[in-house]
Formats: sequence, C-alpha cells, structure tokens
Amino acid sequence: MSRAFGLALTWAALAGLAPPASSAQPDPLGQEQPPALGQDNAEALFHEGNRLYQAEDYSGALSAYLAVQVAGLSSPALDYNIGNAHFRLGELGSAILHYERARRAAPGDENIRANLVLARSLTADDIIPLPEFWVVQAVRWVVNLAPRPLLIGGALGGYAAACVLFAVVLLARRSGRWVRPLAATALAAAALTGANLAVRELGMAQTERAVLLAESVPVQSAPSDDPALRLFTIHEGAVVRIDRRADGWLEIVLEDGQVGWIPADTAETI
Amino acid sequence: MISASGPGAVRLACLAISLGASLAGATGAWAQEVSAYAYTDPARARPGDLFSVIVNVSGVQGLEEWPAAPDLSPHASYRGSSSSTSFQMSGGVTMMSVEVRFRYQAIREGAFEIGSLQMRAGGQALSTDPVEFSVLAQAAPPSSGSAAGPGAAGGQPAVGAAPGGDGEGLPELFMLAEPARTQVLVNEPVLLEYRLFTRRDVDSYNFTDLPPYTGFWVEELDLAGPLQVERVQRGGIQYASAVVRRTVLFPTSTGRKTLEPLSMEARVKDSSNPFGGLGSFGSSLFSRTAPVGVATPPVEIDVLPLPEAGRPPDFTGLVGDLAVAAELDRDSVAANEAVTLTVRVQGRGNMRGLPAPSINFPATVEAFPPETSETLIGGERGLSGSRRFEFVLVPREPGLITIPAVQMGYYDPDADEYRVARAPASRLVVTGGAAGAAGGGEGRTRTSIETLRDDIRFISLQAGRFRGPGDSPVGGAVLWAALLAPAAVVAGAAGLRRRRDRLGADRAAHRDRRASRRARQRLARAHALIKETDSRGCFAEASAALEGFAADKLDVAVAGLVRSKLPDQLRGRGASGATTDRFVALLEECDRQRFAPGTPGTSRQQDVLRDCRKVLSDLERETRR
Repeated sequence: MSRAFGLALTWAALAGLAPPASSAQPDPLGQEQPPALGQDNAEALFHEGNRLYQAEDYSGALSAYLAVQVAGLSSPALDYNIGNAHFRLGELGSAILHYERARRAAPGDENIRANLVLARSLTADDIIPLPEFWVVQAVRWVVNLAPRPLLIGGALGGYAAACVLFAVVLLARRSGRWVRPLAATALAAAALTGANLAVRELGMAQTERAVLLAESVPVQSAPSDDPALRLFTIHEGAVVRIDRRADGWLEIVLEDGQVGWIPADTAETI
Repeated sequence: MISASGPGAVRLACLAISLGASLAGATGAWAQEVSAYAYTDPARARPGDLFSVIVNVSGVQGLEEWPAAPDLSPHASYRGSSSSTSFQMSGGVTMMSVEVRFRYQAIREGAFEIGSLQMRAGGQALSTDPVEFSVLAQAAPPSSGSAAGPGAAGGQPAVGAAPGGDGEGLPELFMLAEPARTQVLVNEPVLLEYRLFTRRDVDSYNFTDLPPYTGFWVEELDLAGPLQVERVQRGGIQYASAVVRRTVLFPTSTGRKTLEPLSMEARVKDSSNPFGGLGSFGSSLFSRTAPVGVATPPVEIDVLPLPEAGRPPDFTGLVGDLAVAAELDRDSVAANEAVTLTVRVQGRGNMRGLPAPSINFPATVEAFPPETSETLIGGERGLSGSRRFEFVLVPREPGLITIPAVQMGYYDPDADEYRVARAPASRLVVTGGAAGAAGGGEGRTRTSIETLRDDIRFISLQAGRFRGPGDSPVGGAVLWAALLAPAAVVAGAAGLRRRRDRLGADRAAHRDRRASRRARQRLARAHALIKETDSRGCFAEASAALEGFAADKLDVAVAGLVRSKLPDQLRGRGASGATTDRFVALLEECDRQRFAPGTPGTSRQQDVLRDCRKVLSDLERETRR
C-alpha cells in the first residue's frame, strides 16, 4: 500500500508539470490575446533578430526578439539575447532584468552568468550583499546543480523504473531480494528529481525580485513622495527583493539589507 | 766637492753654498763667465747598459730654469735625474758649477744625436751643443759552459755589461731570455724564463722595461719562493745564475715573432768589497752598491699555423688537452622557472682564453650568458685546471626538452691531431600548463594576456525550445505517455495478479491447469533415473506421472483412482477412446516393467517415456476446458 501511495505521489508531482488539459483558456480580463506564433515562426523571428544583431542593428534585433516574447513564448536563449540587445542599446536595467530571467530558467549557463556579472558591475550602486546562511546557500546550490534535461530524465526514468519493478513484484511468485530495494530507490530518485524540477519550474520557495529600470529612484521610508521621508537613492540596474506592495508602491530590500519603498513603475519583477 | 741629489737637496745645498761663498768673498774674487755644455757618460753603451747625459753649467750656484730631460727613444729609456753643485778655489778665484745628470738605459742599437738642451741661469738663456751618442751592437755572449746544476742556461745569445769588467772582455752581469722552444704552434704554450748571470754580488734588482710581447697572450708565473741560484760556466768563467722571471706565452698569430728585450737595473756590490764572493744575490749591511743595467737580447720565435685538415667545427682554439662534463641541477622544472646547466671544462693549455661552449639550446628555452669561474695553475705546459660555465636556462613551455651535447674541439700537440671533448645531452622535463604541446610554438615567449576591454559575450545562436505560459518542461504528449505507460504496466500487472488469485481459489480448475506441468516434471525425474540405471524407479516415476495426471484431471486423489473405471472417467472428460486405450496400456506396461523379472534395456525405457509424453500431450489437448 505504501508503495502504491509513493507511486501515486510521484505521478502527481510529474503530472503537475504536464500542460493543463486546455491551454487555450480565454483571458479572464477579456484582454486581447497575443497572436499565436508557432515554434517555426518563433525560431524564424529569433534568427532574424540574431541577423540584425550581428549587423549591429540592435533596435531591430530587440524588436524581433520582443515579437517572440509578446507571442507568449520564452526561452533562456531568447531572454539572453534580449538582454544583450538592451546592453548594446545602453539600457542597463533592462539588460540585467532579462539576464536574471534567463539565469532563472537556465541557472547553469555560463554565458548568462558572465554577462550578468559584467552588467551588474557597471551599475552605479556598489551594494555589498549580506552574508547568507550556509544552509540556504547549500539548498540553492543543490536545487540549481543539475541541468534541466537531467532532472526531467531522472524523474521520468526513476518513475518508469519504479513502475516496472513494482509490476515485477506483483507478478513474480518469488521475486529476488534486490527487486524491492531497487524499486524503492528508483521511486526515491524519481521523487527527489521530480521535486527538484517542480521547485525550479514552478518557482517554488523563490522570493520575488525586481530590477530597477528607472535611471535614479529615491527610496522612501514609507510609501509616500514626501521628500522628508527619503532614505537614499538607488540607480538603474539594482536588483531588489520585493517584500510588500501597497498602492503603487513596492517595499524593497536591498542585498545589503537596507529597506525602503519605491514607486512600482520604476522596477520590473524578474 | 759637495753633491746632493734631487731639487730639494739642491736648494739646501745652495743655501749652504751661498753662506760659504759670502765668506769666501772676503778672501777671493768672482771672475767666472756663465756657460753650459753637455756630454754623456760613458760615450757609448750597449743595450741594457746605463748611461747618463750630463749638463754642466759653470759660473752659477743654481739654475733659474732647469733643462728638460731629452727624449732618447727608441734607443734608450729615461731612468731619472739628479743634480749637484760644486765649488772650487783656484788661485784665489772661486769656481762654481751646477751639474744636472739624466740617467738612461740603452735599449736598441743605433747612433743618434742628443739635441741642444735649454735652460736659464745667471739671468741669461743658455743652451748646450748637440751631443752624438751610439748604442753599440750586442757583444758576443760568453759561450755556455758546463752547468753546475740542473736547469743551466741554454745556448741563447747572451749579452750584458757591468761596470768594471774583469778586463778580459767578458761581462760580469748579463741576462738571457730563454724560451723552452723557438718553434711553436698558434696558441701552444711556451715557457719563457729570464735568467740572470752574475759574477758580482747582486744586492737587489728591479725590472725597468718590460717588453710588449706583441703577438702573445702572456701568463705570469710565480717564482714560488727565493731565487734558486745555480753555478754555471760561461766562456770558461763561472757565474752565479738564477731565473728572475718566468712567463708562459701563447702565440695568438702565426709568423716570426720577436721578443723585445727585458731591461733590469740591478744594484751590485762594489768590487772592492772584501765580503764579496764569486757572485751572490741578496743585500748586505756592510757593502756599497752601484746600479748596473742589463737587458736581454731579442729572441725570435717562429709560430706555425695549426693544420687545416681535420679541424672540427666546434674548435675552441685551445692547444693542449681538454675534458668536458655538463650537468643540470634538476631533472624537472616548472615552465618559466630557472634551471642551471653547469659545464665543467678541465684541461691544460690556454685555459683562461678558452671561450664558453657554443650550445644550440631549444627555441623554447631562454638561455642567459654564462657566469664563468676558474681554478687555474700555471706550469711549464701552460695553464692547467678547470673552468666552470654556468648557464641559467628558463624553459618557456612545458614538455620534454633535450639540452644538446656539449662539444669542444681542441688540438692535441702530443698526438698531433684534433680532438673533440664531449659531454652527453641532458633531458629536462618542463611541467606547467597544458597550453602548447612540447615543441610547439617555438620561439614564442609566454606572457600574460592583456585585457583590452570588458565586453558581454555574444548572443545565443540556438533558439532552443520556446515555451508558452502553460507549457510543460517536456512535450505534453511525451510527458503524458511517459506518465501513463508505466502506470499501465502496473495496472496490467495488478490485473494479472488478481486473475491468478481468483483462479487459484477453484481447486479443481487449479489441479486441471497444473496436471500437465506436474506430469512433465515426474517424467523428467524418470528420465534422470535412466542415467542412474534404475529401471524400476524409472517406470515407477512414469507410472506416478500418468496416475497423477489422471487424478488432477479428474480432481480425485491418486489413491482413489480405480483402474477399471479410469477409461470411462477419461472419456467423460472428453478424451478419445484411442487415447484412453493408449493411456491405460502405458500404465499397465509401466506396472509390468516395475515388477517383471529381468532388467529392461535403456532404449525400452526411453520408448516408454516418449510414449508417455505423447499420450499426456494428447490427453491435455482433448480434455482442455
């Protein structure tokens, strides 16, 4: 019974990653849906953007990339290229925003990491992060350790192996001693990798972060424009954590621990 | 006559003379005209002899402007000057004169004129008349006689002079230059000794003029201790002789070379000294000495070229003997770190002039000019000892490097042939980064990369798979298939298990299903008994297989089977009459074989077992539910 429960749990976890039964739901707000863009057309736009980028037409390249994004499609490579186009256009905040989005989807990509480090080094604010608790660091390291294909393969393979071994246990009158432990191991592997994949894909346990897009933003001690409440000023490209929202204001926490409020339209969530 | 030496002494003498002259003035009168003349003493000289040019100025007590020493080169070399003032009273008249003496040593034969000498005295300018002087040719040397000791002088032309000869025309003091050989090869060492011969006691000596040794590399040798005095005979006269200077010469070019005279000024004891002997070297408290100049006659040496044939390409020019050893201070070194190659050269010859070995280091090795140190000792055969050349090498790339063999060619005069001293090649393992394989990138110098500017990395050229807002990590159909297929396997297994359990609950059906398998197992055991030659056991197992099959099919205990009713019961399960008859016949045959006397053959047992399998197969087919 416990095995059946475990299998069912794993199945449920993996099924959660599956697309909904009907992905063509109407917009609940009645807004106009973006034009449907097939995979091939999206790739054609992507490559057109690359061609324009190499021709140093960075505005044209950005338009092509954004056309794919407006169609509701995304990929780490697309965000990475959008970040590069923004960088070339001198829009540091937008570049960092898209590099951060690309890194969230592909945390192990070295090019994304390098460009993000370079872009963040060019920001006006030298914010020294507070030291992080080692457990949090270790968990983040583990979650981001394995590449996505490996997690998918591990989850599905472990699940399939567990099912087959479980069937052997059901049918064989005298199954070997190794079958049950092996089935349990495969089940555990499927559960772990599936959970890791779910955390990554669904953004579970991730804080909401944003990138400042305005050139210079005064940080207030309360959600108010009162100059007397000004604490300090941060600049374009600063990455902040969003703790609360209130009437067009965001309560942000900087990486060095400073807290304040900024207008919501000056930053965009990652 | 009062004499003093040196200008200072002259001034003191002048003061005293002035006082004396003023006293004398009371009794005498000044009636002398101021004049000057020059002469030489002696009138002629031979090479090596000392002579003086004397300027006499009469009628004055001193000079207002002194004459300059005349330049007599190349026939004589200047040795110093002195002056004296003299007073003489004659007939109530006081005569005064100043004498200036310039001392020279004759060097080269020839007649020449000593020009007019200028000076001022008594308020007037004075000059002397020119004086003729001759340096005569070398006198015939005394012929060598039997030496009184080892190393007696050779037969070189000898010359020398000493004042106060013995009246027989033979010099009392002379010096010879004695090369060990007069015909040598280029760069071949030649020992050259300067030997002094004397019949007077020599208090001291010093060399006044060293020859230029043009065309030779010169190495001075220590005399090592006091002079070794020997008694030798020259021209039938005994001389005391000692080597006063020893050198090794290395000719630097071919041709006839002339060793110019070496000049010496010796201080010899007065011949009237009662303590003087045949001749000795060394000072004495109770003797008066006089300077005597001597010079060696020129000596000619023929320098022959080295043979062209057989000259190795790495010939160092050394004539003598050579041995080479090379050693690295480490076998392994990291790239860009230094390692030292020490080349130790041992031999004899012109070792000080030995050049550093020419080594063609690999292009990946940076070699610095070597540091040289030496331990050399001079001897009759040249310089012997060792020289160390320390090359600091910096390999620039990792890999296995071969330091080539060190080769130094030389000419062995004893064997009369060229030879090559050789040190074997060395291997050096250079560790470091993986950049560049060994031997690659020759001639490059590794430097750190200079970053010109920071820039972002290039865009991604591969789009990857685009995902919509609700897309799964993998394709939807694939994911669902991956999820459902294993679940279907589990579901199928569960269904099968359930059916099996349900069938297991019907005992008759269960026995019916298992009848054929159990019968085959028993027939297999019977077959095994054939090999054990247990025929009765074989037929017993075959009989049990048949009875067990029938009991399972009829769902009765084996013990409850009645043979007479068996055919009807089997036919009741659908078996044909023929099959039933064969079945019963086989049962009877098994029983007969079990209890009949005698032992059936193996073939018979196999035939019965084959028939059993066939009839069971037929019955299974005919009675299948």
